[in-house]
Amino acid sequence: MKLFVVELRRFASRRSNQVLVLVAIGFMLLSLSGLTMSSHSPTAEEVSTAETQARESREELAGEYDECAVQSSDPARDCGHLTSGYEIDASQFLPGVVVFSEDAADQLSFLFVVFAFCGLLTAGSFIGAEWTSGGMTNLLLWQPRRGKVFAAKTGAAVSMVSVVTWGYTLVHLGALWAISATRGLVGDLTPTWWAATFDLAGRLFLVVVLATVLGVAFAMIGRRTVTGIAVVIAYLILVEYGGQLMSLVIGASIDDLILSTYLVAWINDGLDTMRPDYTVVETTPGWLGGLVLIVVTAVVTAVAAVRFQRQDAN
Amino acid sequence: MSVTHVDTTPPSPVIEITGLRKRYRSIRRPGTTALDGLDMVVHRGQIHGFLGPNGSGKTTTLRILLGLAAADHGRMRVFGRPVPQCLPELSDRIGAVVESPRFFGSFTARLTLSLLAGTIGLPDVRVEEVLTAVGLRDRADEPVKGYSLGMRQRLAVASALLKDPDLLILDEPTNGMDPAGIREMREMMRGLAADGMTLLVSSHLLSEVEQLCDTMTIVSRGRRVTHGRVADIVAAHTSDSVTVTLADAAEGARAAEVLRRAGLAISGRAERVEVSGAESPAAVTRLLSDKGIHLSGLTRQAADLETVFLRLTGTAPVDGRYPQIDHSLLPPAARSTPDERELTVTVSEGAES
Ligand SMILES: Nc1ncnc2c1ncn2[C@@H]1O[C@H](COP(=O)(O)OP(=O)(O)OP(=O)(O)O)[C@@H](O)[C@H]1O
Ligand SMILES: [Mg+2]
Repeated sequence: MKLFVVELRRFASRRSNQVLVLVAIGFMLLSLSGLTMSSHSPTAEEVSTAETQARESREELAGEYDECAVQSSDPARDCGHLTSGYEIDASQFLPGVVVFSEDAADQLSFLFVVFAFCGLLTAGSFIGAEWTSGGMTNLLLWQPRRGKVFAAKTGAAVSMVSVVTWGYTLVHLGALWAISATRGLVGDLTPTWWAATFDLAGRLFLVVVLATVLGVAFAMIGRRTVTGIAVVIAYLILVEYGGQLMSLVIGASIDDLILSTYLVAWINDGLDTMRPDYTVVETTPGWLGGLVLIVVTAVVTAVAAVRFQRQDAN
Repeated sequence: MSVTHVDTTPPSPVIEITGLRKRYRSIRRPGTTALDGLDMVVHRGQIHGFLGPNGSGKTTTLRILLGLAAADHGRMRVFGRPVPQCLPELSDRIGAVVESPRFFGSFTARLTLSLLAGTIGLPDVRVEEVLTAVGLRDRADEPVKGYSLGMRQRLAVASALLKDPDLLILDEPTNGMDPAGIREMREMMRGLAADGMTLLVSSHLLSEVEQLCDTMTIVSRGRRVTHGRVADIVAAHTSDSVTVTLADAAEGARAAEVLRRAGLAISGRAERVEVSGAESPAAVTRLLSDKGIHLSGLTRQAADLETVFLRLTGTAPVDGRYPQIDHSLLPPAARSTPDERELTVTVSEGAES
């Protein structure tokens, strides 16, 4: 516990982390003032036009679905992509208007993805700098139980990243709501909306936590700040990009083998792999996506912990 | 110093190391044997010097003792408890500086120490005390990256003192310190030892060691060369070496030949020859006069620790050249009783090379 508090202090005292928070605040002010200036309360005329457009779109899609269903033996499978059209409403046809119920999810996703990267980076630098500066050696003279050191550092990094992520996101969304209430539309915040938003936030938050844990683990393995980001870039180039090229060459899909499939499946609660004609080949359920992400993180963390436990500290 | 534990009699040594072995393995290069069966004993209340040429394994020993590195073989006890198994219980009683002091550069000295103190719940007043003790109080709020070498060294010593330990392990603590700092360190270490602290200090400053340490261990290539009281070891070598001045300088080469044949180690040239390994000065006189070489003088060399060190570790220059790293003397692996036998062995080996 003492060690955990020390690590929290250490994390918070790091200049790079403080600068990052300042940059984030600057970004928030900038993006929110941009939104404030570009948004306006829609006139009654705009609203009625938008409602008309939305109704037309819905009808059009419903027609397409019926057409598809007549031709298909399994409409749920083959025409599923057309049912999303029923969610169309007027707020989507109001350009230049901040509509909270529409925009919140996008902003949430964007922020959490950015924070996942920040978690990877700051956790990596938190650990890497300790190794390269000799701080880790000093610390081990005070706490020889390496398991405790590992746990305290991981816990501190995850806690700090989580606090900043939620703090920032809540302030940002609060401000977005205020903008939509004064110079835009709040939209319908139905119980379904709240449930969906919380679900999305929870899913994204797990990604932020896992990215931070991976940042710690990679830096523990490589004993350098850049290890985590280097591994991620190498993975993206070799597996995600190189693998896609390979799959074109060999003519087989590698979607089951790449992490992005599971990441997207987790965030969207299920991912359909489709043929070019929109027929669903395979569905990766959301829980499987989450499980794969957790298992991968756990394996990397275990490797890091074992290496830390066994190898000489330099 | 508050000693909170109760010791059972007889008092066991504070540090006891037997047969310590460590090999650094590498995929690309052949591995390095850093420790090759090292033994060491440090008793309570002593200031124990840990000496050896560069790369002889001092830092490695300390790192292993402190649990930073793992040994391949050997047994270690600190305060009578097996190490590294018991280190977690002992770490509050051991303060240490290992190798060159390195700290996270953008933190201030005060923050650095405060974070360390926090890990075992020491109050921040203790941080102020040690900062004052090492003379850093007024610069304690600057980032460490702006510190000079000596200032970092002082900070390292401060961190080791923070716990008010019973055992203080310092690896070249005065490296980079100014004369005042060195003297201050010396006085501080004396004070700490007088209060009952046990100190293990590795150093290359032999005059410091001679002034400060009660006992010492000298190592070479990962093995112990000798150990014991500093004064005893130096004295043992004082009787061992004599400087012979020849009446006729032209006899230098012949005299050298005679002495070398008799199995004695010699150095120097022309009419002044330094001889070591002889049983007594009289034996040298007799050897030379038997061959008709006359002496105009014979002085017993009052050896200092430096001379003793160079000789024992085989790092004295040969023909004006100093040996390369790792070409210091390799002491015999196994031995029964220490000291005198070691000295004899060492000297006769030196005579051969
Ligand atoms: N991390 C390491 N990896 C590989 N070899 C190492 C490592 N640390 C030390 N060594 C080797 O082990 C041997 C002993 O090194 P060590 O640092 O213990 O010497 P030392 O007695 O402290 O020397 P110095 O007086 O220069 O401080 C050297 O040959 C060194 O090259
Ligand atoms: Mg060293």
